[in-house]
Amino acid sequence: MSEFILSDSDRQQLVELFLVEAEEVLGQFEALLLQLEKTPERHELLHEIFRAAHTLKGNASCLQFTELTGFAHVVEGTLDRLRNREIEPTPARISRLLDSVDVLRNLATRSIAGQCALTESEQSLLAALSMEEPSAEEPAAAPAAPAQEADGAAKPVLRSLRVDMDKLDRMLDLNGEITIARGRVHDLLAAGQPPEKVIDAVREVDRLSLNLQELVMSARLVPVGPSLRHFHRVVRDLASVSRKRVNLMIEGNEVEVDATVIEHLKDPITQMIRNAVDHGIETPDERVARGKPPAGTVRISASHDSGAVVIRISDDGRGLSETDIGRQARSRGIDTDRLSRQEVLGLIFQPGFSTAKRVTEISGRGVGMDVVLANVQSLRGTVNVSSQPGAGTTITMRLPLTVALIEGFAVAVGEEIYIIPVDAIVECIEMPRSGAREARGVLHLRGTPVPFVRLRDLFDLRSPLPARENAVIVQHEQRLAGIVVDELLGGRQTVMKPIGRMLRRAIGVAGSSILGNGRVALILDPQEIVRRAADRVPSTSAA
Amino acid sequence: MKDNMNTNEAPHSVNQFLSFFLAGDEYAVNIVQVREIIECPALTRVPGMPRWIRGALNLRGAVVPVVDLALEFGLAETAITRRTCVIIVELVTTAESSLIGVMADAVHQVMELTAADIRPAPAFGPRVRSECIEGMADSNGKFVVLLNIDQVLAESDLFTAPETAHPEDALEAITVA
Repeated sequence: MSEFILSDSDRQQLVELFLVEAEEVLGQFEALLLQLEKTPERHELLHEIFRAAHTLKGNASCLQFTELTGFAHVVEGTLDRLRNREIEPTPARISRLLDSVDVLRNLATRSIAGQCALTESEQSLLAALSMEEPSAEEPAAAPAAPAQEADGAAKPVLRSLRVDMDKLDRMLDLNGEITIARGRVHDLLAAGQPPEKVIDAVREVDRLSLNLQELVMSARLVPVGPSLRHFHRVVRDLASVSRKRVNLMIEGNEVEVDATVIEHLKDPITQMIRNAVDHGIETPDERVARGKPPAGTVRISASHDSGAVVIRISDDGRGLSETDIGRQARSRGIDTDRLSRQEVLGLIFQPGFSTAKRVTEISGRGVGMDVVLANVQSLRGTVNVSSQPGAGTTITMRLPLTVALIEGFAVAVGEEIYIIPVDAIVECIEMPRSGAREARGVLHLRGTPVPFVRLRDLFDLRSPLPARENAVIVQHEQRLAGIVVDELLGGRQTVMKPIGRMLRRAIGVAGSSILGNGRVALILDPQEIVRRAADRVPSTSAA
Repeated sequence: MKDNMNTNEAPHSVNQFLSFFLAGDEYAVNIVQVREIIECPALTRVPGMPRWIRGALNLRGAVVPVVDLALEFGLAETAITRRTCVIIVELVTTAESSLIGVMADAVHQVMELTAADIRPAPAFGPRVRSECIEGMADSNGKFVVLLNIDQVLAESDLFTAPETAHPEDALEAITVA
């Protein structure tokens, strides 16, 4: 076998590819091991696991990562004996293999930085694996060490995304078509053709550009499934440390979210899962005593709902104790008598708040839920918690599709143009021409009273009042509300961009978009607008 | 008094400043921070922001906030005319680089100044708070105020992190079902 000499840039490219693939292969490796742990009789899983380990070994040896290759080789050896039924897939062996997935993952990142020497614990794991003989006695299954991701340097964030080749090909095709169409416009102009003819050609360019834009946006969207998969492992490890039995169910794997949103959600979800397993789910004995199945369930579900992504984390554990929260709140000088039950539960999002009676390895130090809130808020999302004592806790995160293509509906107030997400809109009606022009009021919508707010007043716009006004009726928490604007301009597809750090305190704004004339248009958040409007209404003004 | 100047710089090294007129006075910013100068487009108002943030503009797809320093200095709002322009300034003190537009009645000149040309700001007198002034320079017998844009904006709450949420803020963010 001859040795290749790689140029630096070639090597760099290979290394990047290696990292992406290693993450993928190890993810698969892990998922398969977890399946095997649950269903040891499915022998065919071992063949797949073996293939995953083998792929990793091959990739690592290409880049001459000797230690990684060596480790993978030993793991492969164990897997080989397992698949040849020389040894049994006992829980202890699977645990050890899962630990080696962590080592391999860690080693893959370290190898790139040139720090490939094995640590002591890694060496002892390696020794344990390589000593394994078909007849060796099984040591008692020690609880797996908690995931060691916290220590070591921060993981480099991979700023790359895998895109379907077909999608890229279509982008390239469209790009070619745009070039041709633009050339046509130039030719027509150079030939001094009448404007009508040129306009047709320009429209063609527009149409093609829009198609391209859609395609690019869709390439940014990725299904949440693969990112949620690794929580199976998180739950397994947490459960084993706290000696509980927990099943994780994931629903809505196929829901597509912008890649950046997923990246920001990993930490909050991990935190919530830790809370659920550590505080929510009871020990098997406790559960049986309460008439519940011994194994608890943690559920992560993802879905799309009116222009937002909803991620819900629920457990069937003991639920949040309102009294405990209230007690802690009062000790910090918060007057809980004035708060509703919902608001009391909401206090868990405050920094340093914890009602855990004991501090454990995993959670209970009061760090966590405030981080969840901060993370979600940084994505302009909201968090909602609901809990039934004895029956469990559900935390719902609503997140906008931060960078995404949305169906927008453009409206105008004076000179300003705003875009309202179509899926929030129920209908649009013309405002009755009554005398008084108050900031807020009540509309009669086929016999139903609907509160409304004039955007002009809410946003303090000083443009002259138009002769006619229109109301956009939106749904807000199962109730209708009207947002009164001057003109309805109609629907359009809108590229939604975040508004940027400096303007993020803007009220009622979900994002921004660039209009055809180059101006910035704000994309409104109807929920926030209605909430803001309601906040300012004195309680006596209900008509 | 000399704290506001870069005293450690060699006296012969030349710094360039872009000067502009605002409400009759001449101000200047270090040209290192100036990204470009554009004609003032129609601005999009952003609800809920202080009045001196006149709105946002589209800079090749990026949304850039535009500030009216005249309002910040306690003067009348800058009227938008054909000569009004926006100087796109890159802020340097923020963690990530951010762009901000500064409205100007007109752009005047590029001044080449050595450290010796720059006088410290007087403790009072100019409309601008002295900590926001890098120094003063002479231009045909009139003073030009050298602005520290980062400092001007630093006292606004534009950059305060959302993590410092008050309990009431936290409650507000939680939807009450």
